[in-house]
Amino acid sequence: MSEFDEMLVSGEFAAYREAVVSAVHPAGPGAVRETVRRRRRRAVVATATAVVLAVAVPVAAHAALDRQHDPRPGPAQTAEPTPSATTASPTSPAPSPTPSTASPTPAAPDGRITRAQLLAARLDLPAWLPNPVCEAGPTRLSATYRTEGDVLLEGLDHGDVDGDGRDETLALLRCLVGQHGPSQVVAFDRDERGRIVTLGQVTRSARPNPEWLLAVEVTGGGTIRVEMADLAPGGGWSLDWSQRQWRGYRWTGERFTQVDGPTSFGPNPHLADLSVTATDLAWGPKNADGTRTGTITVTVRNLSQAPANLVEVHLRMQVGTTADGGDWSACQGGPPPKGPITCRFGPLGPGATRIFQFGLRNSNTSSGTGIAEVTPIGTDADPLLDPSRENNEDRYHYR
Amino acid sequence: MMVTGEPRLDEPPPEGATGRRKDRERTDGVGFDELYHAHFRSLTLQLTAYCGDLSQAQDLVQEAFCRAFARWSRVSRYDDPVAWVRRVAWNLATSRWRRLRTAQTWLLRQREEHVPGPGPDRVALAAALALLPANHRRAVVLHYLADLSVTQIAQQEQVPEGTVKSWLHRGRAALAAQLATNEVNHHE
Repeated sequence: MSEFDEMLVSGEFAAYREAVVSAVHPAGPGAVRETVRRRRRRAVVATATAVVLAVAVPVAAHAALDRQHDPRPGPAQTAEPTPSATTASPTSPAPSPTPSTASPTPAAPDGRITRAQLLAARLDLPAWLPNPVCEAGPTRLSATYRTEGDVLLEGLDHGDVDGDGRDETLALLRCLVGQHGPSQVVAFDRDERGRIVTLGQVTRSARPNPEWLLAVEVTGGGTIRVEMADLAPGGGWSLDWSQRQWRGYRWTGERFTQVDGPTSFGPNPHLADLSVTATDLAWGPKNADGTRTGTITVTVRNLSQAPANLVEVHLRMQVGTTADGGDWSACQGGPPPKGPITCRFGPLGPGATRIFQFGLRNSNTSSGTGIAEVTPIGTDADPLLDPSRENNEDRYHYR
Repeated sequence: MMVTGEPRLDEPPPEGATGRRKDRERTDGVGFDELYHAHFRSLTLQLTAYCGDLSQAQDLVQEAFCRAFARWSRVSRYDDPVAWVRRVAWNLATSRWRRLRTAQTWLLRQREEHVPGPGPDRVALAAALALLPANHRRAVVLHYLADLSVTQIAQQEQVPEGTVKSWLHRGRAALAAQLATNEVNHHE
């Protein structure tokens, strides 16, 4: 960059400034006041209409349903959805209650949409994580979970996310299918006519993770923070065992992109994908006491990236067989006493394989098919579950 | 109020027309009218250079001031209220609001009085600016017309200072090359 270039460019800008400034005609601060007054009047009318609808519709429904009973409608009860026990995740923060009566405060900026207004509107939803039940497009939110595919509003916050000087509305939505279902965070705004429009999808649940979005908040700087869990609760899985992260997103002018926080989950320490294989077993010749012995080779693998601290192998076969010799000494507490033929051992590290030669003694010359079973154990405080059960059993023959 | 590099190209009109209202608003921070008059022209100038359209730039700046006034009790307490208005105006210039309004504005302008343009001698700079990538253009306009430092531009654009330096360097070099070519052609 030469000095000449700098002089040339700054000279051109100075001349440009001089020439253009005289052509600028400010409409004046009075016009600003008039515009803002007009918009506030419009906002108050829009808010009042939405609240009247939000209250009137459930009241009418309530009255129609309960006509034979006490006909007194309770607007405060019906307008404000009660949290459903089946849908409320134990740790997601309860959405802050919205007053059911219209606040006449005209300061509400355009894109600030209340819970009641969202529930009363038909929203254009972006695509969910593909699934057979939940659909994108025009959708009405449900106050409580009644049927598969209902979309619930599980979190709400407001903030200026596109830097236009007005607040937008961020909603955490969950489409429920039983206790599961995909979730997404969507930004809503209003258009010039006051209608609710979809600004865009901030993030959504994904395969393999995050399966569950937990909370949404907007920082003062306009970054949207979303809390998410790698694994959804339900089906015996507690949210306490899920890993959680906060990730930050910003509006680029066209879409939301992640700007903060981790971009992936590590292996869940409570999940260990174990597999087992067992060889067939042939009993040897009869001993003096009439019993026979044999050896079975059992191979246990940890296919996951998480260590399995304690693992149990169980050999299911007819009664009359006991552990005798071989690698039983490698089990916690030695060979199992009479009863279930099990061996607890550990730890088995990520990707590790353990091969056992278990000796067995049989007293009734039985033959048949047995099942070798492996289960991750963990402890009460640090439980261990297996995400795929298909490889946890293997059949073997003995005769 | 922090003093930014924002050049004050206009002074508020004499007390009387807006004086009473201004005094009342001064109680909780800087006066709205004062801020408007001090910065409207400069902000419009910047956005004209950026979008190449004076009427649209005036609309964008007016809208930014509307949004500031709608939350004036908060904005007036910021360290640097004009930085807020500037950021909003520039964001509006790149936002879907502008795209939505473009058709509407064009229709309106058919009925409006024609706003005189900057004159033929300034066309060269406007043409050279139009050839720059948008982020280079924002950087040079904020540097030369808003008189912002590299740090302030980095804050507004939410990018590292090194990025701003690179935008400025490349934008300035491209402008100089373009303007020099024009001059040579002009003399021929």
